[in-house]
Amino acid sequence: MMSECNLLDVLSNKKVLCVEDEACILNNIMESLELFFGKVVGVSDGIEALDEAKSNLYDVLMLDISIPHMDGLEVVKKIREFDKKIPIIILSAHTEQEYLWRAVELKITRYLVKPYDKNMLIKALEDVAMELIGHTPMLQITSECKYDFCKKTICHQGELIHLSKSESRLLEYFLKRSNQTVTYEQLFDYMWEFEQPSKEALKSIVKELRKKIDNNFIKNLYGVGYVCEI
Amino acid sequence: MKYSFKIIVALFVVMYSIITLLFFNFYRELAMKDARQEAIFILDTMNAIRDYVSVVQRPLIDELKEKKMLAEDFFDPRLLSSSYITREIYNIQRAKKNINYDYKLIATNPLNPEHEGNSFENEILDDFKEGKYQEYSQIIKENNKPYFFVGLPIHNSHPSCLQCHTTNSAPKRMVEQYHTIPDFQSKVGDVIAMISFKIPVYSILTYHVKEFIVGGFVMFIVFVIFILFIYKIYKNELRLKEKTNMLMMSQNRLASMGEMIGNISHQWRQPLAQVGAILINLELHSDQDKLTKEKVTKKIAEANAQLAFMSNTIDDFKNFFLPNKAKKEFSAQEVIFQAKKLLSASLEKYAIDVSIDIQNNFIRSGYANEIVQVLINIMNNAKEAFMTHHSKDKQIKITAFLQNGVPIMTLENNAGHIDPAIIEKVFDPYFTTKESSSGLGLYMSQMIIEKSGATLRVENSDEGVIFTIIF
Repeated sequence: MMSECNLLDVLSNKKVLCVEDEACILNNIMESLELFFGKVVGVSDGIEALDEAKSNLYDVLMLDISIPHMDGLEVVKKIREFDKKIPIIILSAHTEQEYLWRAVELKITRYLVKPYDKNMLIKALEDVAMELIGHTPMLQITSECKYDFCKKTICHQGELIHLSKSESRLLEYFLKRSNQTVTYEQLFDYMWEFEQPSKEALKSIVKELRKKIDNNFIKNLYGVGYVCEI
Repeated sequence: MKYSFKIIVALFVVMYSIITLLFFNFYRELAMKDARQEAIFILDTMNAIRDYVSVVQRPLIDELKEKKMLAEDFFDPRLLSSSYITREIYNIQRAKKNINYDYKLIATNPLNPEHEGNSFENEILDDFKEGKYQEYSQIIKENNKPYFFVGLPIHNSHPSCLQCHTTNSAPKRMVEQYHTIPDFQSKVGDVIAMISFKIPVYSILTYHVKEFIVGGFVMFIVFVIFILFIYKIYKNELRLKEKTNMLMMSQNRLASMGEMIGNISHQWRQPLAQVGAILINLELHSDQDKLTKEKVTKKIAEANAQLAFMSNTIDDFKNFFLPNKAKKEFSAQEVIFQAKKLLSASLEKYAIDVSIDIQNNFIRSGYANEIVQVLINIMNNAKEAFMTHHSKDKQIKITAFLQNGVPIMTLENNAGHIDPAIIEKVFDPYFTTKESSSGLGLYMSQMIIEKSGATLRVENSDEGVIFTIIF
């Protein structure tokens, strides 16, 4: 089941925030991450990083510890106050116990010690991907319908249906918050970061998902948003 | 060694001279006392002979005269004159050459003109007559030569003396011999003359010369041994001091090397991380077949820029470690900037802001690297202080200025105070409050500063510590 699946493809519709104060390093990491992620944003100091993280747009965070104004671990601590789940990778040259202790408490996904190599980075990204999909690459949505996180496809009674990028992104957002109320505002933020979002556009994506999967698994909450029931 | 070797040797020489002087003086006194004892013994013998003549010989002659065994007018000084007899005994002794003293009898109005004293002798005789003293011993000068002089009075011990020394009662033959007989005009028991003993001081001393030489020599040997002993201790101390100094210097050198290597590693960490990031980026692009020629060229250029930076950094440190060959002129700004540059990575790491205020860019001559080393030491200490004293904005302020024409550099931080109880000790060797420190940094800094004729001071300021270098 897993063999033909590349875990890193999970990331292709995800957004990552990268924090590193050295412009050259930031640039290279961003270029590398762009190979895997749908979108990569880079910032270079702690306060900016916290502001960005609060915007609720990101699926993954990657931070250096030695950044100006507020150190990376401090930023993570503040983020953990409102988001317990977002996968975080720490990049650091520090191997001092003090830093490691602090990192452990923050439930980060990976602590990458500089200098790290490609394989370590790939492994870290795979961990992140696994975390994002709740360690189940194939999710049974309904009795007849399975979702493949890697390929972004639906297997409906043996029939393979492809999802568009925005469809898969929205679906994964719902799946992560199954049986929870998802407001329009949350979705607007997550789906359309800068462009003016519209309820019509959102409704059309939801409609498409219902058509491809099941009519009933996403329910309308009138005037508030949706709830995904699995 | 607290006291200089020269002072100790000088002290020893003075002590030695004093002891030698005392020793010789003591020996001389002893010799004089000996001589006096001997003189008095000789003079007493002479007096005893005189008494024998008066008490035994003369009455015997008188008896013989009465028995008509001798002519009535018999007179011969060889039998009757005590002065004559004693002088003859002296002459016999002298002829045998076993004496080196002058024996003389001095009398007022003597029969024999040889017994006429000089003014000094007469003075002493007068004093005897007046009974001022019972014996006289003194060192006197005659013809600029010192003599040891001892005098004893001769008492008019017997009536028989008066017989001959009175014109009326003097034997006829005696009158014929001497023509005039001066009167003694004195009673029995009166002082009529004195006998004296005179010996050159020189011959007393030459008699003891062997003891002097041996004594002096032994003392000299002891003195030399002492000096050698002290010299050896001094040498040892010097060697030990040199050793400790060398040890301290090498310890300090090791410590500062370690620190510098730490700084180099800080300086290199960033470019290394960048090259690493570039390589991973290239590899990932290559893996996914997205590596274009343009990208390779661009990334190589980026990596080369980092390598150039690393090369420059290592050159800076190499220059810093280059041994100083000659003194040269350097400016305040030059050394301050150099120190800041070498420490820049670790200062950045700990977010320490170093502000430099060159109010007067004075020029000094000396070993610039040593001054840089001191500045680095002080900044490093501040850096370590900041690690335990968590202040919000960490600052080091370096100022160079002239105060009444005196060039001064100050380094002030806001990393908290040094405990006033130990602030006096921070420059002591091996004094440290940190576990990993050698305690030599500030000691060496002060040594370096003082070697270049300046002074290094430390005080607590408002929020931290201020180091002042007064050139």
